[in-house]
Amino acid sequence: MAEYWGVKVEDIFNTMQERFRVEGAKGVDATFGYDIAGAGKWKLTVKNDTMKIEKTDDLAGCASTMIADSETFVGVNIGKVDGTNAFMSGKVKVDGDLGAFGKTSKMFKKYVPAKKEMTTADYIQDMFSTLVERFQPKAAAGLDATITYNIGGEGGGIWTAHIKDGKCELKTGKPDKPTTALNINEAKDWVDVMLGKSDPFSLLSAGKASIEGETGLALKLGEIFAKYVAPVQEFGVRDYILDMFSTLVQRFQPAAAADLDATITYDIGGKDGGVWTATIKGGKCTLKEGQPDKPTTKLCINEAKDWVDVMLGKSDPFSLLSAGKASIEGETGLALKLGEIFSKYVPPTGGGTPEQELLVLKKTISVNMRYATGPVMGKFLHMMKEKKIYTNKCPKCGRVHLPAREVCAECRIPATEWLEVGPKGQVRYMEYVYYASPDPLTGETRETPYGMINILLDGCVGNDTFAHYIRRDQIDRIKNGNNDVSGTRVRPVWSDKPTGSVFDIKYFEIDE
Amino acid sequence: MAHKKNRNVGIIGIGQTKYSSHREDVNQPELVHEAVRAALDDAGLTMNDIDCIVHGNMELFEMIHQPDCWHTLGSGALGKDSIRITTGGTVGATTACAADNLVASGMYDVVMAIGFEKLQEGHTTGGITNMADPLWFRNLQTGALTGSKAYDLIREFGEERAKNVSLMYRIIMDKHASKNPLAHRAFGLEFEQIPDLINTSPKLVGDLKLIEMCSQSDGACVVIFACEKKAKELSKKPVWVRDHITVHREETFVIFGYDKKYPFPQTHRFAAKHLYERNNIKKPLDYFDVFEMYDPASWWAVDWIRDFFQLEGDEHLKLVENKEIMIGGKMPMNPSGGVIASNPIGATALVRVAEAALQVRGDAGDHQIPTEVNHALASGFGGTMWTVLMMLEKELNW
Repeated sequence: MAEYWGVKVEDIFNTMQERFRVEGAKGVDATFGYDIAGAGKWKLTVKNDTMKIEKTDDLAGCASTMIADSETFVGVNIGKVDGTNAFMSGKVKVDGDLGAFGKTSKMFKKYVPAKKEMTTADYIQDMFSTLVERFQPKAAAGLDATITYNIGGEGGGIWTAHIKDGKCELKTGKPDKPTTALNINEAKDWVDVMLGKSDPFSLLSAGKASIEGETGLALKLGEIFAKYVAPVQEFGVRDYILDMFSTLVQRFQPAAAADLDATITYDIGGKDGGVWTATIKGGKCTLKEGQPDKPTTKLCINEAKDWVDVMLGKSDPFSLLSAGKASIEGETGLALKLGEIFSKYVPPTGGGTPEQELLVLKKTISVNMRYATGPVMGKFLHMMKEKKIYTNKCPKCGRVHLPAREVCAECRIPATEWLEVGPKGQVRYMEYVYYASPDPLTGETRETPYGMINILLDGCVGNDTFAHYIRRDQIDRIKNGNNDVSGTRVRPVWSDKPTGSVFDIKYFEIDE
Repeated sequence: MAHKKNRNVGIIGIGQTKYSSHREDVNQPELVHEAVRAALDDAGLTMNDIDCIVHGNMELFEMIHQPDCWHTLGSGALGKDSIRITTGGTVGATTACAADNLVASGMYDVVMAIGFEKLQEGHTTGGITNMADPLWFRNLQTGALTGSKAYDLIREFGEERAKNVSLMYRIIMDKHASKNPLAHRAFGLEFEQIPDLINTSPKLVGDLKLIEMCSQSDGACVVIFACEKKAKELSKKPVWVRDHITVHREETFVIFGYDKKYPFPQTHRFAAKHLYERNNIKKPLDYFDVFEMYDPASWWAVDWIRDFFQLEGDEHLKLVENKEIMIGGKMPMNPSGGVIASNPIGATALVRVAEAALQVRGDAGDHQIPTEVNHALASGFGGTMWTVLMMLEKELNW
């Protein structure tokens, strides 16, 4: 099976059981399908805090199924591909209940590929994939040449650098007559040369390598291409987490915990997390993985990365708590004392200049506002209180405004004649809204789907429709009208306590 | 509706930032400064050469007021005459029109137009919703999202054709965006994905799907305008502003009657008609070499092609279906990828002018259209169907 970034699709499924988080699966009783092109189908069953994953041919009965190609699936799981972009661009699809599928993200810790040593093949691959970016146009000014690398042995291959007009292009294979060809018998030897463990002259003199064509050019390769630097393994979130807990006991401050008899559990989520418990008794501290039945205090942190930020001083625990990214169970007071019980964590990479933290100020602005209605809109709203829809008409063109307007925008003269319209009418157009936009007046997200209808009230003409909500359970029965056919007839449902607002009508409902 | 200029005006400098959903590495003045610096470098000028600054954005979107003051450190406006423009989606286009007017009037020789937005720092949908009448429509608004144009096109051309053409337009824009290193979104979509995306892209409102709607971006764009004398002195390739037109209408969306006897006023068609008439352009589709259109969603975009080019029937659909709007086609539209790819609102409509001017200059890089560009059109859109159009020319010969 194909590997992407060194990970197979099966690796992701085979580790699901060990990555399962009972906390994230509470109350879920469903089956989910995964249809991964080029790899197969899997069925995930979650019930009573347990899970089962099986490879199958039949995904019938799944609440929802994720459809993706192997590369995208692996990429999203290991964080190489942006999940939102993949979803938006259709590379990841969900067949069935989208909301239900969203729950699966909380059920599993993220997949962490096992770290492995770079093989000869990895180095050769990396070397050639970075060749073009290591190209030095200045050193190759005026050069028009092809340089073939013919590398034998395990991990080897044939590549040719085409250099012309200060540009370098790498192709696999060998042209008929390269300017220079380097033949290296064993890939491993070439890796040693590139890593500085060996030198090319030793290889040449030992008969492990040969040069065809222009030898002079081969000697200039060190100038034409910048030195190859092997990728460095970064100190990642997981490394910090492991380092943090392996140093916890030595950071214990007995003086601050003299009379303390307690267990403190750290439940750290995310792909780099884990569960550890510090047991403190008699001025001593021990650390174990896992958690006891009833820890004195339990800190739950959703994402390991956030906890690393806290420990490195980039963030503070209260922000995590208030943002719902962390929670405390048991004795809260003890959690607040942790900063005294354990001395500050100092990362092993300390000493260097830390990158400047980019702070973001977060504010919620709430402003009281007033808006004078004026006599015209005022009258329109006042009549709402009396459960009547009153509006005005242009004396020149006869346009009946909705809502009432001070002047006719088209004729630019005051609209003085008042008349009662509706309250019943027909729907001319309904916006069927799936997107849960926030209600700007309350800040709360509206329940979706909902329908916003444009009603041609009886007595009105043209485009002067009245906009309002339709009763939510009726949205699928609404038909839009036009001047050939009537839309669904609707009537207003009035509020019991009208205040002089368009929401004295709670919503419209089908007039039946 | 004559539009008289005291003197000709040329674009002599263009600067843009990368458009992105996340520019927390810089604050607002710093983001503005990136584009100001790029435009000054492009023009080979310093701030000493700038007489006046026109600053455009939607202050509600970031919840800071008087942004032109906040941004002074980034814009270099200290001690300069400065004017602020805030006209919704059209703000960038209005900023360009204002700069053109200020130079054409004779008041200033060199004017810098700045369009800016950092949409991640506020609440765009909330801001747009607050534009609506608080007594009437504000409670019902869903920002700029509407399924009505999809409804119209499906009604007129049938479901299959309409849905296909909308996605076809979207994918053409994505292909263009892939050639523009500054574009915010370039997914790498293929035409083969059309049936799939029709079925799977989540619906927002009616038949408007997530993939068809524009992004919310951070970014800034700066365009420098100069009088003819200065433009010829300072620039090897000035791009001349021939004319511009703005058409507004009332604040309510009185367009949903669906009664043939009462066609609602089409600002795009109206504006384009008057602009072409007064410039004696009979066949806009033949006249213009490129069109940078403000396309907030692919449904709107497809429909508006008909209005802007004064087309009838399904001519506009055919332009999309036959890929005539692609780079290399008869009427290349949005070689930059358009608004659907990058949308820092206050800058967005100015980016249309900037990108159209780059095409005229032949400096658009990988998304430069292959044939010569002598005449370019740029549009802005905002509010309850407001229109701004600007015409650019390579030669001063009209």
